[in-house]
Amino acid sequence: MKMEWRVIKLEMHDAYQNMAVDNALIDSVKSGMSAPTMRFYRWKPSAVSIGSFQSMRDEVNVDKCKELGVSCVRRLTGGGAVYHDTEGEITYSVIAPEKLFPKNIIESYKTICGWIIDGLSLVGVHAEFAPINDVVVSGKKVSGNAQTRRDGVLLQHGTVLYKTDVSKMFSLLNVSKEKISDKAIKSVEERVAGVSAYADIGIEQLYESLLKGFLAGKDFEFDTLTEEEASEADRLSIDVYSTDSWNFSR
Amino acid sequence: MHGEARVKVAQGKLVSVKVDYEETINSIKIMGDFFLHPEAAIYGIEDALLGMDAGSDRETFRNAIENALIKYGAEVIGADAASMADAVKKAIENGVESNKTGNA
Repeated sequence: MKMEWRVIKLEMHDAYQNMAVDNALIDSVKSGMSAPTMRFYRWKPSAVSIGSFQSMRDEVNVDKCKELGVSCVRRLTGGGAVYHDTEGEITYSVIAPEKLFPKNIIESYKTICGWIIDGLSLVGVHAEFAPINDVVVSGKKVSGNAQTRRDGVLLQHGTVLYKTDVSKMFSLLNVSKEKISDKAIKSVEERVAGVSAYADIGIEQLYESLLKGFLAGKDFEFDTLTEEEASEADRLSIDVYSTDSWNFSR
Repeated sequence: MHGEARVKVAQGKLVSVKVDYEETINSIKIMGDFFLHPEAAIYGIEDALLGMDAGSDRETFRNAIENALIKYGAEVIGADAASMADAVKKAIENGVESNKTGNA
């Protein structure tokens, strides 16, 4: 019998709620109360997320973020600092028993990144997996991904860039003065791209194509969070992800 | 004394260390954009380094980190015990009097 996935359609939340929902879903999938779940979301207001082991003050220009109304949040996954522009990307999360995926971490990244690649192919974009955790088009990164495994549950979340604003990204992330030079910005533009650079599509079409890529060959049902999950996510948002003790713990 | 170092792992991620020490390590944070499952193992690694002789060689630091990884059943992606130990050693080598950096 094939596993049936729960699919939560594209939503828009603030940074704290987005991370809290992922955390709550790990717990509910772990307990067996919920089916393997994939969700799609955007970030409003725009936000910077840092990896679990990064220092907020080292990586992020917190004052600039405050000035521009950009939220700052620590993820529960490792990886680097990411600027999540409300209009610039689609984020996904996959939360499922880890036995559904290869035990090897890189192989499991490859499996889920393969769904992104399949989705992008539907809009004529030829993308490839670039270990450890990226998806690239013509050598440029269009998607960064991060994974954790807890008590038998795998969480992988990642962004698919629709369009990039490297200047804004540089103003929000702490990089050395040398790196803010025009040359460095050009260098990042040479290494990072949004899907809109390769396909004349809107962000809604990007979402639809990703959805198809993720769902191909799977049994699934569109649904929402359970009341318990929503309540736990609200609690985690307030008690953990919006707190300085979490976000500035390193 | 306070020291900091950042080490870029070949084909991998960045490992950053901030350490306060005198003869022994008094406090230490291991940071970076690597992956570590389970994440809470980072505290086990840092605890394992606390109290160690600050003059220890890389191999001694590496053994301590590796033992912590085994103890917590942890897996590092994009870095390893050796690169973490390298960053710890470099941070100590970069150490200056704490009151000169403003770090307590």
